[in-house]
Amino acid sequence: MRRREEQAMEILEGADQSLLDVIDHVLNKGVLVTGEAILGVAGVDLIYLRLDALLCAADRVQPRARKK
Amino acid sequence: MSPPLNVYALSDGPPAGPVLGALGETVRALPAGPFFALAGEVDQPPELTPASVRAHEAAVRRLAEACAAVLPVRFGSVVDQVDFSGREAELLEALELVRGREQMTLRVFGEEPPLDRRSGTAYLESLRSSRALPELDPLRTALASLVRAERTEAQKGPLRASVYHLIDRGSAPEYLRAMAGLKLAVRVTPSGPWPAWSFAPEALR
Repeated sequence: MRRREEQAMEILEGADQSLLDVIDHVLNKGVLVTGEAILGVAGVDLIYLRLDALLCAADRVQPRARKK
Repeated sequence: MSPPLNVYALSDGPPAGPVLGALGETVRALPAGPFFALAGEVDQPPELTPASVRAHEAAVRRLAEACAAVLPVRFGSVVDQVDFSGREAELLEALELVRGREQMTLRVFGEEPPLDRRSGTAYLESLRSSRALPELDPLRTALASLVRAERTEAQKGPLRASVYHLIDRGSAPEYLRAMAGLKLAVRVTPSGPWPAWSFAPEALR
């Protein structure tokens, strides 16, 4: 768990506005693909939480169902 | 068993030529019903790093340049097979909306005006009025000939809202010029052009 938190924090620490825009688009928008096995990416949910503080996008932070 | 697929975008036709994915792999156009899933074969899901996020965005950008219409797919969509069944109508509609177009993103900063709390109706009306961002009306007028669709997201704190505009490809310089001389009551910072991230169906729900 510690590793996931570190990973999520590292990506946002010192992020400039252009990176925040990229993160908002790439992690927060776009089609969600369904398939037999979505493997997921560790730390994405933590990024959402931290991005909330940075982009103040509180209304987009929701519990997200994950397929294993 | 075939390798997992890292899906970058969805289109209704293959790219005009070879396109490289985030890891330098050649993106394949895989038929999926009436669509093509634009994806690269990977060994495992991408690590979540600034470089990998930027690489995903860059791959989607290359695909958007090589296709008439693409719907970007969210980072980390690594699957064994792609299935869009049951969503064909909304995806086809979204592809038509974004065809030949790209996105500009506006961040709107400033405090939300005080809401009228004298009654429930007054509160909801003042909230609706605030969320419509009337401070942007001069901007909307100046950009009316360029903007094909608008989405807004109310947010909280210093960032009051994000506004996403769909414009014709190649018109971003004109869009930015039209914004340049405007005096607005709120601070607005533009970025773009981007692929049409905010006009993908999942984001519309």
